[in-house]
Amino acid sequence: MQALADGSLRLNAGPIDYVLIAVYFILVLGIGVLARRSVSSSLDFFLSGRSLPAWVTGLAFISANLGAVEIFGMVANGAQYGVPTIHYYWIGAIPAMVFLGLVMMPFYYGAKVRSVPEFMLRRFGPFAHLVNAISFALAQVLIAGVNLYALATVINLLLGWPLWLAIVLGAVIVLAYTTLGGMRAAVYNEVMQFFVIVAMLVPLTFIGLHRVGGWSGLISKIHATTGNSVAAQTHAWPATGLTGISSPVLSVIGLVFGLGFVLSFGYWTTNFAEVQRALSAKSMSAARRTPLIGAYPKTFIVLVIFIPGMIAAVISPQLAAYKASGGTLSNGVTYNNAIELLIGQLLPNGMLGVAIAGLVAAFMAGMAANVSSFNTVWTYDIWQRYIKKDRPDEHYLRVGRNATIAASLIAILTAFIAASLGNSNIMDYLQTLFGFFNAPLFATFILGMFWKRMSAAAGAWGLISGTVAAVVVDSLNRTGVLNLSGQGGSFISAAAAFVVDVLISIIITMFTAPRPEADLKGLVWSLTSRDGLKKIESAADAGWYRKPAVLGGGVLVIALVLNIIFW
Amino acid sequence: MNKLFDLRIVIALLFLVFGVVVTVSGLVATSSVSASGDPVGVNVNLWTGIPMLIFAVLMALWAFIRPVAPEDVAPTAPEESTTEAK
Repeated sequence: MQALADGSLRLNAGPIDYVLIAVYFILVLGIGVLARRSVSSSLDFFLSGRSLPAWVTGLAFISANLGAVEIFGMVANGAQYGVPTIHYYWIGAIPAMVFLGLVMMPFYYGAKVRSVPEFMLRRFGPFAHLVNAISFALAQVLIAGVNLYALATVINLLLGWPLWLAIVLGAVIVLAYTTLGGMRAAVYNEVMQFFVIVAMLVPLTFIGLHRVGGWSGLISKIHATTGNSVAAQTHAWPATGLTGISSPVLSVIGLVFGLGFVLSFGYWTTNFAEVQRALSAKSMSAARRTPLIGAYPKTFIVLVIFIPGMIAAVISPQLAAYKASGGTLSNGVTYNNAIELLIGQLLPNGMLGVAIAGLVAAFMAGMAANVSSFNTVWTYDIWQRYIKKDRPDEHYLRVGRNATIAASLIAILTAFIAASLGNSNIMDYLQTLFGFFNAPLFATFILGMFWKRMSAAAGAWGLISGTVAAVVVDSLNRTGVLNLSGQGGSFISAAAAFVVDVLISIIITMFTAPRPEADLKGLVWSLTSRDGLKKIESAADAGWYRKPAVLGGGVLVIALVLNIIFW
Repeated sequence: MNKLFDLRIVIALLFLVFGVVVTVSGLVATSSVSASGDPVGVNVNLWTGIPMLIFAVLMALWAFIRPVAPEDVAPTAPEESTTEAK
């Protein structure tokens, strides 16, 4: 974001673009107003009354993740690394989403918990619960600030609006629709945002490919800018450029275990901002189908993310020069500007408005997901559990609305602090840091779900030691002790968190008493009846193609075939 | 009022407006130059506006053919709540 001042990335938005952006935001707020009429209890507000159909929660599930940080970051990866970017999707997200739908969702939805920390409470008791609830709530509210700051810098960059105006306006709109309509408004807007983002990315891909002379034209132009290393850019495996691990074998292991297993399973299966979308579904079958339905668009959307990235690094003269220099040239652009450069080069007024609406929508969806998961955890897991028990439901609905307002104010404050520091590195670091909470969480959950002997103390201390392990490995890498140039550092620290968490959990369990089996019904695999999974609750859940195993198997086959195509 | 708040209708409405505005601007002025003045070579607005219109029609058709099922209305507040079909 160094080019803030010189305005070289400014897009010439015209009146027609502003009209399209305005239309979009009128509908965003309209959804908030309309959804308000369906909020009459706290469960309506936090989980949309568990009433949403699977296609809605499925699209919201991936949309909550398809925030702007994801889009900018992955288009940038496409520009820098090329085809290996797909690993974040076909090795990273897809198997984890299938695992969530097939294996873990029966526990979450079946136990009727209202949040991921609540599952923690019932399986491991208050200590582990508090560790999880507080770290999650804190992370979400600060990441909401990161998203808001990122939104403001992009509006500033593209449209020239002052930072403070963009921060306040963005926060007010998100606040308006999430306090009014609660989870339903957040989810509906995520679905609408998904389509707007697709309407931005698909034209960029096709027009871009037309400009460079198709896929073969793109490959030959990449050859011209990167010379001999072209194979690493145009083949998915072994992705040594992406991981920074020079041995191909270790690179593949790092990808499959670090990214594919620990990092992605941790993120997709235990991050409440994601799981909350599935908990809003109207039946067990719809809840299990949520991540599985989401997996299909997730599989294909990477095609319109990494290809535009590769195109941007070819047709933008500044970015091509930057890439040719190996990322050392200081000409005002970096890979992070790839999507803005591409939009500026390819889109005329009209489509430009749609694209800007899509980008702004992406930021807001990210922030709304943070805020709506924060207010749920704050109200149910902290306020109701430890501060004010046994109040009437209206009390908790009011607390939830107030928590949303408070979260937005803290996010504004965080964004202003980031803006006054004037660089985004600190924010990047914060985000990486909070990423560390997920990997050990996954280890603790998976042990806890399949090993009934695991004790309450093991749950909490495994979590804490795993997080510490991740932070230590990451610091070693940042200070140059491990020295991994690519993104392998985060894969290794996630793997370390997982291993340490498992070891510590096993050791502590050996010396502490297990929880009584009666308390673990529905929470541990061997103590849970599987009848609920077979029962078909309504006609909307019937049909062989709605079977979770069929849906999950299908998307895994597609991901495998795509991997072979881009080998 | 329930059917008015079918999410599919909202999405159809958004893309109807997007599609009309973008297609018309593609028709009145050929948009083969980007907003920043770079040549693109195709009439971008026309080629993206028409698919958006088609998408809007398909979404509206889906909502029309499979309207909100009565059993899908959320049980918490029957006279107020809204949900879509399927």
